[in-house]
Amino acid sequence: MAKQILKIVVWEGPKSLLAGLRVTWRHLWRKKVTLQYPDAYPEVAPRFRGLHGLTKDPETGDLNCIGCLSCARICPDGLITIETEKREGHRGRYPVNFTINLGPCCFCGLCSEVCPTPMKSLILSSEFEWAAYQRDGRNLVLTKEDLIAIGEREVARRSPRRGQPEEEGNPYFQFAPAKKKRERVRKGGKA
Amino acid sequence: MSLTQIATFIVSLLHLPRKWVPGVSTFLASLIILGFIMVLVLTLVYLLRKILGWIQVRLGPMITGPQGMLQTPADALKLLLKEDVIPQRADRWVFTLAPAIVFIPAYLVYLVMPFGRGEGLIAKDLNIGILYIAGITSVAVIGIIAAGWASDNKYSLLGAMRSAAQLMTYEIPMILALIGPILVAGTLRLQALVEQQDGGLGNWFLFSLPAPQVLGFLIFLTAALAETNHTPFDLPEAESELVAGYNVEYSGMKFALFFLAEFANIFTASAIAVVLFFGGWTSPFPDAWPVLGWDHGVFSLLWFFLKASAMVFLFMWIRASWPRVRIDQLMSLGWKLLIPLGILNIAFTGGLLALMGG
Repeated sequence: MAKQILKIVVWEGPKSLLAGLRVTWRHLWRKKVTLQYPDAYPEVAPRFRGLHGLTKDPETGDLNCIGCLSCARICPDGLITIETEKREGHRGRYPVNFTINLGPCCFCGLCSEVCPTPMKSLILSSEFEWAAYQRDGRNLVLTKEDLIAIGEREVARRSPRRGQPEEEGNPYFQFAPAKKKRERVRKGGKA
Repeated sequence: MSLTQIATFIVSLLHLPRKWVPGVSTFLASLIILGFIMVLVLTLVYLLRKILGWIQVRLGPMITGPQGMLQTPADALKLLLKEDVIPQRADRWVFTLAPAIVFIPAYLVYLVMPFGRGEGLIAKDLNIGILYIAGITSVAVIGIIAAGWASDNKYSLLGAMRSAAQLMTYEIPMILALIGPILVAGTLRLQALVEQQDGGLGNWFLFSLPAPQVLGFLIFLTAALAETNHTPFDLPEAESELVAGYNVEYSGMKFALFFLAEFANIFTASAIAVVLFFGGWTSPFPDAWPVLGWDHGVFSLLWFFLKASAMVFLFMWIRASWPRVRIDQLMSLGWKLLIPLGILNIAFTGGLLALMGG
């Protein structure tokens, strides 16, 4: 008994204390995980579901949206409002108004997933800053202009020329340059 | 040039009446020491937050100033501007006096601290230096009990009781550990203690033959951790058990005084350890190539602060590593292990000195 106590006091106790110090010493030299947020930005995952955006055809600069209303229909909370009209030179129907109310949005990504155009027209971008001071009004509602601006930024960010290749099979984003798009359409026509 | 001489020189520039000069210059010297403690504590708090952050794989304060260096001055400023709340049922007089009673001993200790070689770098080289330190630091217990009692809050009272028990328990092994180096040196004068350790690593009381004080240092380290309410003995302010210990009800300036005293005490404990066991301001390699061997004037100051910083780092490292002990473990460690070991250390030291003719 006394021998055991002595063993703990003289040997095992100090040994465990030193083991604790060793662990913290190693942690002291590790790379720090802190991200200095407003100064540094996180690199979000390729399939990150951030703010919505509307893409344009990189060649013609026309909106990719064909006004099929699939996104408006599948949205579980019915947050997407689209007004369309027939317009000369535009495939399908042209979206005159396109607003998404982000207040109740849960970023499920269904709207982008169902988007049928070869290059996704409605995408979920990597942008995540959308804090607002008011719930109603314009603060949490993305208008068509906002959506186009976000879409332009995101496409520029993801452009293969910038060294960020498109991730294969990403349901929220498909970057297909115009040429490829036509080929795919033609192939579809033959089959 | 000593501190009082500097103060006298500054006061002489003011052309005051002759008989005022000694008083005013003493007052100025005390203000300089006070300012030194403030800067020291701000640096210590900053270092603590940084080191704890690094060990937890964080960065610590980064925003205010370069590398967050202005964070602690900003915090101090905020504390001074805060509302000074006194609880309605508190004992106003005792409540107001308690922070001062805790802070003044922490401040007075710096009077005899040998920061460097020569008379200039110590405010007053008392011939009972260590006795003075041991005596004056014990006074703080009264302040802690007063703070806990005057707050009229059961948690602060509990914290104060724990604190008092802990401080009294560990006062004894601490003083027992101090006796070892005193026996070796044969003096209580701090400057003389350091001068005896001059001449390299082998002369430090930690290693010096015939009676190396390794056991004494370990006892001192444990007791000092408990005396400064540091983890693993931070029971008086155990966040998860008592809200914050004896200082729950304090805010603003009064809380700042407690905080100041706590961190000043940490540096004091490190400094005493350096003076008694690690050769104070002497260079560990006096014969090394020039710069490393220099320990005169400002260089002695540098060595002192280097060693003290290493000790402070050890404290913070321990704080980040070890979990808190239970109150009964704390008490049994103090009474059943450290005090017998302290007495054993004195017996060994004395015996070795007598046999080998120290």
